[in-house]
Amino acid sequence: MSTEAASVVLSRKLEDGSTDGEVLELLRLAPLRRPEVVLSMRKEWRGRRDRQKLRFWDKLEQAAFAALDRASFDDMDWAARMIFSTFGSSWRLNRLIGMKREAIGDIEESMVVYENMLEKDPNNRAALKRQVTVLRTSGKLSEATAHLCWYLKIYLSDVDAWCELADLYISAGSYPQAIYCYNEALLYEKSNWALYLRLGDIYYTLADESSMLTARHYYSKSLTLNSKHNVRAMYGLLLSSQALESGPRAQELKNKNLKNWVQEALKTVYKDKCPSKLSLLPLQ
Amino acid sequence: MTGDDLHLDVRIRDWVLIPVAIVTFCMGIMLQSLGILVRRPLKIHQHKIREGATLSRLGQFKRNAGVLPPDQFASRLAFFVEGDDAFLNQQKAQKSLINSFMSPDFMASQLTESMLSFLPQMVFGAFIRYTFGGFTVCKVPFPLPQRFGSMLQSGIELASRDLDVTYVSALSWYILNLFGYQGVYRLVLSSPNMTAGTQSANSRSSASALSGIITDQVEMGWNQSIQGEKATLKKLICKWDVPSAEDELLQIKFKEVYKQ
Repeated sequence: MSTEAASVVLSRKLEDGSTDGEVLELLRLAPLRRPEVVLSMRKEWRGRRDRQKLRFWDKLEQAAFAALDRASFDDMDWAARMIFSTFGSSWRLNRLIGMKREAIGDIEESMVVYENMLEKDPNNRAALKRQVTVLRTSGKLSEATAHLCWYLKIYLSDVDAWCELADLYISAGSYPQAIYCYNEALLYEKSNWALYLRLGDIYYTLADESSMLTARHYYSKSLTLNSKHNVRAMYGLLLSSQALESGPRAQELKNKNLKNWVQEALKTVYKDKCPSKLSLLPLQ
Repeated sequence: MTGDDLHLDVRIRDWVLIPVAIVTFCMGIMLQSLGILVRRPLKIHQHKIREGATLSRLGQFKRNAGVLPPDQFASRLAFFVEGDDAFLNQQKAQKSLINSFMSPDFMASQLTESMLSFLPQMVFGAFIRYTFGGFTVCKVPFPLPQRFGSMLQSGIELASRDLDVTYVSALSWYILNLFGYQGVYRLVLSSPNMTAGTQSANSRSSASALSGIITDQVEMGWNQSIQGEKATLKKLICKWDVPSAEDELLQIKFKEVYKQ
């Protein structure tokens, strides 16, 4: 489920009076981050009613993460205490504790927590990945990159990690490496329009003649997979085809067709969503 | 009571039958909790995880090679087949399933588990045999065929086996309890504490343990299957399908899609 689709389902569920439990479940499964909604459903995860059920603990963990997002540490501490008193120490609890340290800005301490987790279980992926985020937050980008590379040498089928590594490379300006990472992610998710969009952006940034053409390919691919809600790819396609017009491909018919297609598309979207800004479109 | 019946002393009930039942129950509970404390997750070596992930990458590469532009395609193909240390050129020692079950990690975990369950039971059984040897503790209220004698009357050695089969000896009572309590434990221990605690702590490790065994199985057929894999990879041609998306895009009537 894409983020947009999920948020539509969520608002529908919030309106038509679905139970809080259903909403929480949707939030758990869908790629949505709505801590305020989770925290507002206190009855679901503070209630005494179904502590015997496993599902309750899923909700409690969810609430703990939401509490971290909203910096309401009382709720988070309460949840952690509840989890500890029932299950004792576990890697999931330790991850929560480490993330709280991160949230209050105690970066070194959180690193220690994750290292202890890894001592117990060197294959704990949660701890390995948290370490990367910690390093990234504290500005040690090259260390974070090295860490993530090491992680991906072992878990080389982790798509999210590949995307994160690509992001790290982009912030370091290492575009060829980032391209490699996104291609790796594409091997696993070849219908993910956002990945094609990212690749288009990178090639557009490289800005030479052949890269610009590749960027146009990728933007087009992204638009075929998602043409309705993809204005970024439209702009990409527009700008790349405009840039190609000044080169040796100036007379290419396909380039012209694509440019016309995307101009029409952009006009349609702008007329519908914000007619007043139609004149700002960089149309030629 | 007819004259043929043995008279069972009431004190046997109070001092043998009931205590044995209670102690067996408590021992079972203790062993369960002890098991949770002692159980270690099976160690999985990282090279095994890596191998499993690489195999899945190989599968994805074969399936979705069309997403890769020529240079990216070539670099990945090289990773799998070019050079001596390429993934598919590694020679592997033949392994068998027995090997993976005989690995020290697996054996150790099995050993502690069986030690925990059998040793106390045997010790306690020996104790009962020694203390209450020859006790007849109760009588089953329905007739039973003769063959049940060995099950219900272990520990009673009579010269002539003519004791009615419905009498149960102390040792047999203990063994019956041991097995009969399994269902009761499941009821008593099914608080979230026990089930969920072990689940959340161990499900991941047991899953990865399983994946370790699976990669072992893959390794078994390794040397045979890599030849086939190499042949498929050689046949794989790079056909980048992203550029053709432009023609596809021009076929889309955006206004209609947008209105939907």
